[in-house]
Amino acid sequence: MTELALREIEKEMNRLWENWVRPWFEDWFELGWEGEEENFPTVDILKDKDHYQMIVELPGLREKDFSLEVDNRVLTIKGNRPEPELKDARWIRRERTYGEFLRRFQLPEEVDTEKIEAKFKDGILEIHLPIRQSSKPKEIRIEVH
Amino acid sequence: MALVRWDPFKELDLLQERISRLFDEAWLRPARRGERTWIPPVDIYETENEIVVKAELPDMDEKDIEVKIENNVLSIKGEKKLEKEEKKENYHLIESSYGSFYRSFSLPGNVDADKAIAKYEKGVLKITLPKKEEAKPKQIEVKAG
Repeated sequence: MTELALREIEKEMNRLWENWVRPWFEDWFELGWEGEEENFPTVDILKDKDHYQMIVELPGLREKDFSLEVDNRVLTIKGNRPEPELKDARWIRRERTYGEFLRRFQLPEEVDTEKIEAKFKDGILEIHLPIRQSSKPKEIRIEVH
Repeated sequence: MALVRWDPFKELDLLQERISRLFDEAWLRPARRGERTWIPPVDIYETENEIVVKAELPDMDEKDIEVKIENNVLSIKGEKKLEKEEKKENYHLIESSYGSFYRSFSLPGNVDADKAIAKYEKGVLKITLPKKEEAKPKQIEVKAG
């Protein structure tokens, strides 16, 4: 392999690390999960200037099928996907998974856990996690003489 | 899987595996980088009067979903885009599926395609396909002879 190819690989690895791996380690830790499927429900995390937003996909679920709690900087989403009861019917294909689920995350220090809000609509749970104002870097004016 | 404390070394193992996989995807299939596809899970069951198809399509607009019945084949296709307002750099974690999808299923001949109904609610697409009259189970009266 030529040196150029090796450098390209190194660049690609660094880029992947910066974009996908480091943020995962530094900001959010998944503490554990339980249930039939590792990634249910799926979680998207976005960061804006003054808040994080978590989008949790819970298709077909009603509000009473799950709960969201924050305790001591740990956020837990858990619930149960009720298995459809077929009366006088037979299954032809079954791909969706059912049953209990749980996902737990460690929240970054900068999140103000007192002000977390959540909204559930059309099977999508949106969690708004404000970032503490004081933890934002203060710009220091430079006096020039 | 039970709740486990975060173990950095286990995390590194997982990391190594993830990076190898990323390499596989990045280098072996460069053509796939532009397009993104996913496979929504589908349940199908049959009752006395109809066949019901349920596809999990969270966080979509009905107008981005196309349902077609042609030659006794039911096809569901569409595209789910990442939130347009957020730029990709803002995402810390994306687990939700997005991109284009396509699923097709052969239907039994006794389905009345003209009376099919498709409804999208809470992130689930439900298609109800009534059976043709002659296909419904009929009680045959037993006469005394």
